[in-house]
Amino acid sequence: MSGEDIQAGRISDATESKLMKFITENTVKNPLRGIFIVLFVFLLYITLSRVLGGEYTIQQIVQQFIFGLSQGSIYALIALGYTLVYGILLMINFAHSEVFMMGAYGGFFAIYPMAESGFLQEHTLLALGLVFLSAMLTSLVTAVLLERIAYRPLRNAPRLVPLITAIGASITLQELAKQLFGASPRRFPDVNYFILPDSGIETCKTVARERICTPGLDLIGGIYDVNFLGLDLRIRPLSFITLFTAVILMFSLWRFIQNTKTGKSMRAVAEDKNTALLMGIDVNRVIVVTFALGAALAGAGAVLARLVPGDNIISPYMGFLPGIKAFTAAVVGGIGNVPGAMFGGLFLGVVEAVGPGLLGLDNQLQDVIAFGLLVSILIFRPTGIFGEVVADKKV
Amino acid sequence: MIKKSTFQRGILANGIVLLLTLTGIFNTFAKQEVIPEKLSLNTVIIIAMVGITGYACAYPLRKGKPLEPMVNAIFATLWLAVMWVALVWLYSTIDMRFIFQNLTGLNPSPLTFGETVRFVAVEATEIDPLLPIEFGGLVKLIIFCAMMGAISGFAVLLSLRLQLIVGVSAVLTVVLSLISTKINGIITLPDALAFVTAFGLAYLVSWFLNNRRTTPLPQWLLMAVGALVGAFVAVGLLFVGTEEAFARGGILRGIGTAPQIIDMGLRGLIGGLFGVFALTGVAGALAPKAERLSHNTSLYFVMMLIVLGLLNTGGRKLPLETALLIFGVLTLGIALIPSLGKKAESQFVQLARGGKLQSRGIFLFVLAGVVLVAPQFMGVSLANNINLIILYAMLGIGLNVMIGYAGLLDLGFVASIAIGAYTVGILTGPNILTCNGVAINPNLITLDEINQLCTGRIDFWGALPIAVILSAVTGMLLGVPVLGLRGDYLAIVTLGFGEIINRIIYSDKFKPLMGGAQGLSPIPVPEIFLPIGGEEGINLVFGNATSVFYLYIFAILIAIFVTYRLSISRQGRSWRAIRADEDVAEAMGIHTVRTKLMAFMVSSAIGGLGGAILAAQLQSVTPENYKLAFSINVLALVIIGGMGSIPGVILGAVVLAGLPELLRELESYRLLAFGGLLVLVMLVKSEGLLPPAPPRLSEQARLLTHPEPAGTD
Amino acid sequence: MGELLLHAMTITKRFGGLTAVNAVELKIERGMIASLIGPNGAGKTTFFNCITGFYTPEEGRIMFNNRDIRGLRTDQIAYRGIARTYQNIRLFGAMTALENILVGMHIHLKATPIGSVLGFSRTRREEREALKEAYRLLEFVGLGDKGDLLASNLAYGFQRRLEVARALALKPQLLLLDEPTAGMNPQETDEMMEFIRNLRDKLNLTIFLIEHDMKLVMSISDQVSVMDYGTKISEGTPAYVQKDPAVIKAYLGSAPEEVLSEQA
Repeated sequence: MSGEDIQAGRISDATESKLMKFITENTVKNPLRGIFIVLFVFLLYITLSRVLGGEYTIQQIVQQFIFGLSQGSIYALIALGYTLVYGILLMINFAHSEVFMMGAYGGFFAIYPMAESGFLQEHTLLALGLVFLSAMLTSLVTAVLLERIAYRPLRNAPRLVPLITAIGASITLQELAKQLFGASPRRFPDVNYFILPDSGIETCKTVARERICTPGLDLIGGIYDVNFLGLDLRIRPLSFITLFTAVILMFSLWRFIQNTKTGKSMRAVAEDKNTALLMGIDVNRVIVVTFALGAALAGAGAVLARLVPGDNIISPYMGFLPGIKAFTAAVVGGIGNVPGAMFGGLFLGVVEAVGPGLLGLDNQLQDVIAFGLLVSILIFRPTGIFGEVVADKKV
Repeated sequence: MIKKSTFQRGILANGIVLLLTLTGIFNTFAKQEVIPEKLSLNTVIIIAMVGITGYACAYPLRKGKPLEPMVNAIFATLWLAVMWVALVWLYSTIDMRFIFQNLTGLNPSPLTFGETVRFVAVEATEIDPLLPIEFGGLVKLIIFCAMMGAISGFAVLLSLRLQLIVGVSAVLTVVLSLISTKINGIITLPDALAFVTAFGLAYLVSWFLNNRRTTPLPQWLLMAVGALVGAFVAVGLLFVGTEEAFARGGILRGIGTAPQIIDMGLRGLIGGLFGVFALTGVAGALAPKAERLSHNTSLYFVMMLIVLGLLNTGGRKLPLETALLIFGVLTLGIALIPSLGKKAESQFVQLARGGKLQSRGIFLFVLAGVVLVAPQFMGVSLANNINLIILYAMLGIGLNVMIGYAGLLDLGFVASIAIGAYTVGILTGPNILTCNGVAINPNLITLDEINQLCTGRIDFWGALPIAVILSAVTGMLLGVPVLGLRGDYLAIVTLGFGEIINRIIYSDKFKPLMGGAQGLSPIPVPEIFLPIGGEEGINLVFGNATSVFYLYIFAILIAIFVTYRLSISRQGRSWRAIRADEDVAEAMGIHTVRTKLMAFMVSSAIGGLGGAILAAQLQSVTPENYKLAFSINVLALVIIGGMGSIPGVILGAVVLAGLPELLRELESYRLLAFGGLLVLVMLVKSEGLLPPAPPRLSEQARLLTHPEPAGTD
Repeated sequence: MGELLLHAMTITKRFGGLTAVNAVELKIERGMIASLIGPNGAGKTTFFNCITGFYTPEEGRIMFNNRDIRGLRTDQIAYRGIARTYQNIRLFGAMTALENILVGMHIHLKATPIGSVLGFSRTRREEREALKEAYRLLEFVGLGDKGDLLASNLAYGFQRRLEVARALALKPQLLLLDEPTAGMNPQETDEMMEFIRNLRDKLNLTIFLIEHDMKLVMSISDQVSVMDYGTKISEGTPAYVQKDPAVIKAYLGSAPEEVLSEQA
């Protein structure tokens, strides 16, 4: 036998064993993977048959895609908080969803008096700026206090301990908000901001069966029928504003982490706490900054999420679902990975918006999608799409 | 003089107290009275708030200079007083209810000692609004805070044991007073005293006999003496008690309602009376030489009997003297019983094997007797509460397998409970499956129609094993994808799973099967038919709280038995090894995934069992009952009670599930307290109130290895 | 001697761009005391982790008793008869000393959960036997009176010995010791050396150890392998290795020779 033969034999051997390996990997070794693959194929079949059968149109897909992007950018903003803290402390900050909730209350307590006094209507942009500031500050203070009181004393404790503390803190914040601010949900006031009053665009709404129209484009409260590339879409400008704001915030965060001294210290601490300490980095300060950054983003996200007319309720329990979904987003992108969280958020938002229609699920079961995504990511690629190592036993 | 730690702790304590004040806590508990017209719950809360603040600030300084703790405590409590004053002032000048919706009635309130504080004269506007006009209440508040600071600063200097005894007795007294209307019907004082006399007399006689002799008395002699003492007390009762005297509520003081036990003797059930008292006497005689657990349990039980008897004398109101008496009894009991128990244990270990078994057997027999008759004394309302405590304890024991043994944080335990409950609901209740394909609307159908139509139903006993197995299997399936990952993921995935199960049982899609938001009802009551005693036999119906009690007792015994046996076995060791260090456990040859799956399975099975019985007790299942808060409740009692420790979990259930249940007013603060306690316990004592004791196997192992006694040197 | 017990065939393990173990070839015969030495960061512990299955090497095979164990899970490898201790002691701190050993005996017990719950006489007998044996092991390492102490409460030296006892409870054919004398004073080190010799002579174990203490390595080893930067640079009897220029270079740069032999 010549050397070439042996090589050729090896190659075919290798490919064959690769296929076999794939099959055994996904059936015998991990029966659940097999089940999920079958499930995915089934879901794909449903989707295709619904789209081809005309039950679900491209128009709907595009419309819901846009909605999903704005929803997803809010998930992304929250997910960054999970990811940043995880990257540095290797713990899931369960109370982050409550930081988000506190942000919403902070925004509410700023916007409500301004809406009552008419300040909001007169100086909308300034007022909104103040609302964002208030929300971000409230979140930030909550998160920093949380870190100082509950997490810092436990930094070297066994892993279960800070985890339980985080859950306890989450419940405490929820119930505290309920007892302090009342259990009854409150509503963000409607915000309108008109631009282009002379462009011929009219914003109309129906009040008491009467149609009232105002000239101009309402960037925040309005909703418009648009014909785009032959598709009749119903679109809120707010969706784009949310996406835009979120992207700007995330980009600033990215620049902050990459370029500033503090950002570099953050990366150093994430890499190796002890070495960072030896290099003269104040690890405590870096951790506080991390919590603060994540919280501020969540606070901004809370206001963005509650500006939508009709989806403007704030309650002590409002953090739970967005929190769990944002966590899913962080896992999808690879927890500990900043760009990953941004992508994961957008991805989850879109899947969640488009999914129920594609699969023909009723809205009651919409939240099941996020959970299904979480479980399938954990089964197939626990490191997330952008793969920060989480399953590493060494961690 | 004022230390840094005082500032840190003071800021924290004051922050917490202020937040609690802002939640309107003084309004919520305004109507509760601990001792009528003398002590309200609000006052107790203020005392606790100030006292704990002072204590927390003084504690780190307890070994320093003698006056230091007191000065620091007073500093912290005065600071608190100033904050409160500022809050009352703010409250009366601006309306804060826009933010703090529950904050009402701060002025007047217990904070102002019931006096109205006014900062602005009503008629004269030219007076400076910042100057208070009527402020006597606030001055009292400041003085009170300073006093409490001094007391708590002094308290830290006392021995820890004394602090513990007094503290626990005081808390218990307050709690007992608050729930006195619920528990004061259990036993009358004469009854209680009769038992205590029989037990105590036998105890003393036996103790005396033991101490007098160098060679120990044989067990049977002690038992005979005990029985004799008991019988003597019973005779005495018959002798002093005439029918009239008893009928009016007991001869001893002529107070309380009709005695229940003594009554037996007068109804001609003299044999029963003698039997019960003789047994009490036997237990009393054996106690000084019994195992610590039996000894302490029986003595605490006797102590509780006295307390319950005392509570019974007051009727609806609890006079101050009685409260003080109860406090005294509790203090004495808590101070003495543990050390007596230690002595008893030292005598017990010297017994021969047969004697040990005999002693254990008799105490078990007495315990079984007490448990068997207990529901007759409780009444339905209390039985309901106690059932709930047992349910929670049992669920806690199940969850403990996951968290305490295997170290896996399961936040979706409610899923197992819901699956157990809904399996029973679906198999035994009316729905599309059992009613031959007819969708049922429970509002439009009568019970008779259900019975006619729904022929596919099976009885509770058939559904129970299916429920348990189904929860176990689902729990395991859920475990598969996440067990290879870090613990944090498990927590969040189980959290999601609990939520998903709730969504599914709520969903309209499954309404014909699971009833949607309305749930399924009626679920038939479990019955047992015993073909004994005459032609018809006996039909045991578990239809109300006092009979379901037995089901719960049975279930929790199973749960304890299974988890305890597992915990001391190879399986339990593997769990604990994985919890301690997963990598090393694997290097020891432990199949980690299989071991964790086993934990999932056992835990879910117990959850399913609990859910199944709950469904039968409520005779319905509704999705409202199976929400995340249920998981959190169980989680909290496991962690606060002590992860990995069965007694800890039971204590956790009694405190965390029992108290809010008996004191409905606490309900709104229940979850807040749980969350806060979780954080606090993790920060201060992460192993919980009653951490597990490591198994003492060394002695047994030594004896096995060297069979002849090694104590020759 | 002479029978091949462990044969690591060109093992390579990479972490990202770093090759921690590079094509290492190593043979250990039954009954040997073999040592692995090398400067810090040479990849010794990583190599151990490859053998015990904690890491799966990208290339190469690990033959143990002529069977390839590469890719098996850690617990499967433990079943095959490889036990180890750790450089920084890793006991089950919240369990007693006796329980730690009982965990080590896991693979030799057959108790099923059902058997334990129902208390089958077979299970109870097995548990008694296990307890007996665990106690013997405890006495063997001189901890007979400390069985009920929590492992985390034991003194450092006792913890080391308990860890060895736990590994012995697996009744392994090959015992891997990762720096067994780390943190010990000279006298304790001598005791440990005696102890390791005893293990081989009395229990017929094959021992493979990582060690920094040259005196110990040179006096008890039958074979010494030297690693540097992930590759094996030398192997042979202690006398041979001590004189190998490559080893001296690795330890001292290009400094004077025979420093190692002076040490020994």
